[in-house]
Amino acid sequence: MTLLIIGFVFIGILVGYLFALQDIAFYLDNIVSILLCLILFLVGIDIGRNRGKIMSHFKDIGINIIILPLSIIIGTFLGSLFASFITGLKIREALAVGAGFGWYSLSAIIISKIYSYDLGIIAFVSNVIREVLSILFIPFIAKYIGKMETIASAGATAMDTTLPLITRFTDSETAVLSFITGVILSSLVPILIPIILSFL
Amino acid sequence: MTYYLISLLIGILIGVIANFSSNFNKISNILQLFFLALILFIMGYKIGSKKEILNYFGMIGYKAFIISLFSIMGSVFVLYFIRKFVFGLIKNKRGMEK
Repeated sequence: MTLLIIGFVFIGILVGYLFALQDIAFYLDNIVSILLCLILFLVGIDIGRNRGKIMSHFKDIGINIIILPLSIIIGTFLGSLFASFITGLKIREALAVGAGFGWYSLSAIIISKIYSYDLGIIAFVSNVIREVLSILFIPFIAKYIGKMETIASAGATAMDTTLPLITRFTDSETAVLSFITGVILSSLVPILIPIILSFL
Repeated sequence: MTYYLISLLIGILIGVIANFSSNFNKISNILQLFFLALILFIMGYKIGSKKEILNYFGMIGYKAFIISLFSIMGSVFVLYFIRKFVFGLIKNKRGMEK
């Protein structure tokens, strides 16, 4: 299963590298959105059918809604802080890049606009890597560390691109949490990045 | 974003209202896997087709990689630590209530 996932990403990269067509990017984005809608629709049906099980765990979900985003924010900032010492970036630069939480398009745009184009590119690549690494790590995290921790790796992408993967390797309850956490983190991206870059 | 939420909510509604046969899980799983494979392929394609991203990797990829790797490790570690600590307490309390 994991090999299948890595395989599809790499076949895609290879095909894209060898046979890149310039004009289809727009259609591809739409196709991905439609596929995500279809998956979320199916995930929704699963959630609706298992509502009894989910409601009985609602207390746990309630606590996790606070714990998850908070831990991910603290963890991301600690990690980025550590990364700033290794890479030689300023602390606020590394933290701002980390505060994209995997949402590469928005974080790169904001950072390019209010700070510098160079850091914007780093933000773009870094957050693409967060998404790709999460895709690769999620099966292992679910197996060896815990279901919730898959959401921690995914960050803001837990609401869309990595949600199908998290659903597949965990359960409907984690999928609900994943979506909510992703929404919370995504909405914090445009707030946290300017705060970090202007006050730190 | 809005579409994702609407799709999810319509799904939940149908899941609550409709009665599916036991075969549904199997079909739903296969469909989800198929859609997922397509998304992963397209995502790979997009990364591969943007040659400038691959070129950037050499110059700034190292910094970008370090930040994302440590962000992931930090997030997973902090969540695991807090969950183990906090949820350990919660479980004990519940055990005592019972």
